[in-house]
Amino acid sequence: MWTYEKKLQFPVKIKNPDPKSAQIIISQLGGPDGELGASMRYLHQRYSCPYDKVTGILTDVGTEELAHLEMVAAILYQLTRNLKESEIEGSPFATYFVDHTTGIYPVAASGVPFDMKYVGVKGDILTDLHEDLAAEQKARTTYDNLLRLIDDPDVREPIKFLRAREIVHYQRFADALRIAQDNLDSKNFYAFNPSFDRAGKNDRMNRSCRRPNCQGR
Amino acid sequence: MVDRRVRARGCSMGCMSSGNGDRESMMRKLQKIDFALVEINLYLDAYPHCEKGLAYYHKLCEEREMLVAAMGESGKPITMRDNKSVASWDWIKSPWPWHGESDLEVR
Repeated sequence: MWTYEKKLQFPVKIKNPDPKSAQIIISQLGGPDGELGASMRYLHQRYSCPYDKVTGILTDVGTEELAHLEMVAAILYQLTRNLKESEIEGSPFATYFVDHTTGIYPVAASGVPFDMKYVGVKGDILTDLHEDLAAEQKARTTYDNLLRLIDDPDVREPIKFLRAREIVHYQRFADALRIAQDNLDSKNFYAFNPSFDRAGKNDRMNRSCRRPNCQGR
Repeated sequence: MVDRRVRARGCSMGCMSSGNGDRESMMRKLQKIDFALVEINLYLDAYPHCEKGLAYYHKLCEEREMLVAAMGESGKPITMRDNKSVASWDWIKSPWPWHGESDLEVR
């Protein structure tokens, strides 16, 4: 289970509202490569993961993504508070405002609401980890694009932090992929489905790697 | 026999006073304390000045602190921050909560 901590992972203190920036940043809340999709992806993939180290990485990264979801929401909240009608009128934020006022609703910048179709859970840890590596890069690209369009340092700093975390997560998933591959049977040349095609049904918890010197599970 | 069962049950929240290693696992005790905390949390959100509620909350926190420390010591940390071992990262050890194994219990 989860408990909530009453703090942001990284400070968000934005002095000047800017609905135009909010309208593009919202993609990292509910867009195809956003933080909601990221947390849902890892936290659901972990159930079919046969290796403890990788299960740990999926659990912990998935949990951190929830903290990022809150940071993005804090950025959106601060960018859209105390707005005057004149600031909304004619801004790209106006279409969102009509549907949600200044509430925080997970949609993509294009206006498409969050969809689990952005998330892949294949039940095969090798397949899933390849998706995760791609997902971290896609999120990093999205943050790069946001940094190309945003000038306010108050907004850039937390976004730079989030971008850096994508890179760290990519590296940890690279470790996870190596751990998963180290655990494969030496005859499994094509690296497929270690979580499903198991030797014994009843030794799930006790199955250890057959490779010498491998401590992974 | 009857005596022992009564003692093993301990307080109504299944707190540490019943001692370790009884029929009730530490995990089950923690689930009970935490469920009580979830309930008192929701209650106090709406009645933040209730003295009785606050006293109950503090009693639960005290029990929880001892139990969580003991679980960390026995190599079953409940959060990443309860990993007590300096020699190993117990956090990733099976079973995970969804495995439904009997050894989910701390022994």
